[in-house]
Amino acid sequence: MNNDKVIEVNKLSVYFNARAGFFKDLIRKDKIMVRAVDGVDLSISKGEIVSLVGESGSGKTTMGRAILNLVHHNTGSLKFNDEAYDIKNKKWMKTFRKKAQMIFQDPYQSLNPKFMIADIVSEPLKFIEKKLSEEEIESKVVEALEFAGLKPARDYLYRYPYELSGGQRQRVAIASVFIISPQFIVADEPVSMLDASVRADIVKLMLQMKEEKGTSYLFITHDLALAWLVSDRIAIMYLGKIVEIGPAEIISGNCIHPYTQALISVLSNIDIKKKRKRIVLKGETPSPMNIPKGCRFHTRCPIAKEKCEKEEPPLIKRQKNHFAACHFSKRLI
Amino acid sequence: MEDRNILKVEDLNVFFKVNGGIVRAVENVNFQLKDGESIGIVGESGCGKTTTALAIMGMLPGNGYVDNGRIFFEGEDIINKDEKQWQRYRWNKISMIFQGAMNSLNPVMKIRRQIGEAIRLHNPTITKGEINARVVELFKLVGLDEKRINYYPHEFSGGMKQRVMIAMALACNPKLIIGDEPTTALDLMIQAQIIDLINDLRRKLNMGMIIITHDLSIISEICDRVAVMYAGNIVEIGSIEDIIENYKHPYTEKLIKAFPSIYGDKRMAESIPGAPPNPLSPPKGCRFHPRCHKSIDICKNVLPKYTSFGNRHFAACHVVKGDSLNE
Repeated sequence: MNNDKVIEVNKLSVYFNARAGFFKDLIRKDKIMVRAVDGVDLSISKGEIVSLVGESGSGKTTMGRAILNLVHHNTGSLKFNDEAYDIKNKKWMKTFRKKAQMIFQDPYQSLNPKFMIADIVSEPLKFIEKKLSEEEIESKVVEALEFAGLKPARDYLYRYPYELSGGQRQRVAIASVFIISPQFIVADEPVSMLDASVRADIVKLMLQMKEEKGTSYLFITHDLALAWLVSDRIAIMYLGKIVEIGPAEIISGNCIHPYTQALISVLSNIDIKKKRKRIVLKGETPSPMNIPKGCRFHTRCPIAKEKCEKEEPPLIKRQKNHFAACHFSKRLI
Repeated sequence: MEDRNILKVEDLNVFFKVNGGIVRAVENVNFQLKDGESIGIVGESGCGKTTTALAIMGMLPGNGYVDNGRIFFEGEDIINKDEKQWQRYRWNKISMIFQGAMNSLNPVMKIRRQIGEAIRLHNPTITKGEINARVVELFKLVGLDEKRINYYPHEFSGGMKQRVMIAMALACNPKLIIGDEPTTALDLMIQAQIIDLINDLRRKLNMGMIIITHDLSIISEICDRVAVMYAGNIVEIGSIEDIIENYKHPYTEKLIKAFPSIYGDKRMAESIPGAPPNPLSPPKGCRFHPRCHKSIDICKNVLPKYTSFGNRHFAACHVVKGDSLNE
């Protein structure tokens, strides 16, 4: 069983130092920490898409970055293909980078404006396979661009990013990831900057890559409906912790955690006949510098009791593959 | 019936002079708003939603002008007002919640002064004490802690800034509020809070409301009626029930089908092929025909007229059948 896990994360924590000001930082002994990711377990199998859903500031992007070792993690162990991360080993890191890639949120910022499309797409390939001839590189670039739906690809090769629309840019970003066929991709809100009409195409492209190459994804998004559409499993994050994780169908239809239920209940929905009861949570997410004691959700939870203020609920198995961190399990909607 | 319309927009054309020619941003837009009614304008980016709103507010940018058409507010034609008359009418009668609340507040000015400024400019005779009392009252109305009136914008979160923007729009008791993407860029839960607040205020204050958004679900939560805009035209208008369950125009159909719902089947939302037309040279005939899956020959040459489907539900399409409308 263990062998088909691409990514295994155990008790991952990422803390950032909060700065209070130069002198205050000098005087103060106990550093204030922003606990962006606070002890998270997660595993992703081959060809599986796991969505990480949460509001802004829940730590989902930090989590994705920590898995790719783009930010340093404080505690926890990470395994890639059943092999522990060997961050200090440059050779290991290089093979890791070949196999694990990231698609960024904003295609207006993630592409180098001074590079032509051909350069952007071929750069990762040149870095990894140094012996390829110019012709081979070009044919691979063309193949990747056509896969990404930029046809005819040769028309795009010598253009600059500013000549392309947002959707086309994101296609270029996907082509530059596709060209080295990674095993695992962290997609950080890949469609949130795009118009609704091009979103579906970009998502389809990512699914197609999964079908063709068996790529696994960690799909980071704030859009629960989109997560439900694309992923096998959904993890709901709140203040640096996963509060519920399970198959997409269970999360959408049978979730247990009150936070998940509230998120589902306020989901945009145009079906007027099926208007459900909305649970609108009061207030806002507390600061990750000052995470509430006990269950971190208790300050906003509609069913919180005394126990929740004292004990932090562990992530408990409810059904096959379905885990939730709540002392109670009450259906609210 | 007619005189109960708080707002009536008739054959509105708004054009922009640009280097390459004239951009026909809004063309032949008609709609009415009854007292206390709310209408949503939905469409892709660049379809003229915001321009329509700016024309109603008399705040078109320098290169934009109203080429044709009239706008009646409470029966009075407001399009030819001069700037001084506009000033008296703006904010006192119609106000606006601007897009991107995060960036429309002045970062170096306390919230109390920013809201107070709006009140003072439109009621020159008001005293300082009255302004402060009004700001506190507005803070309570939008669910903000009144102790925070002397805070700066950076001390507020995104959702709270949005509440400040709403308070500012309410400052002079307007009869009509225009919300330009009032919940975009907010988290889901904060979005739901703001929607609840807007609905609550609408019930309490009985205001007319125009909500501009690209998200049909927000309109379905707030509005009574929907106008679907495409490339400067309203292609379909009707009650929210009629539009969502009984849509007629192929573009509306596409727009609704592009909406993912976790209650239906797990199918990928459909995208609309192609891109909106270049506003400098929109296609002849129906502007949607190059992207339309139902288009026939006549669509390429003749701009469709509105047909009525009863209950103030109109659509402009050659393909759908309804009672033809004599204009």
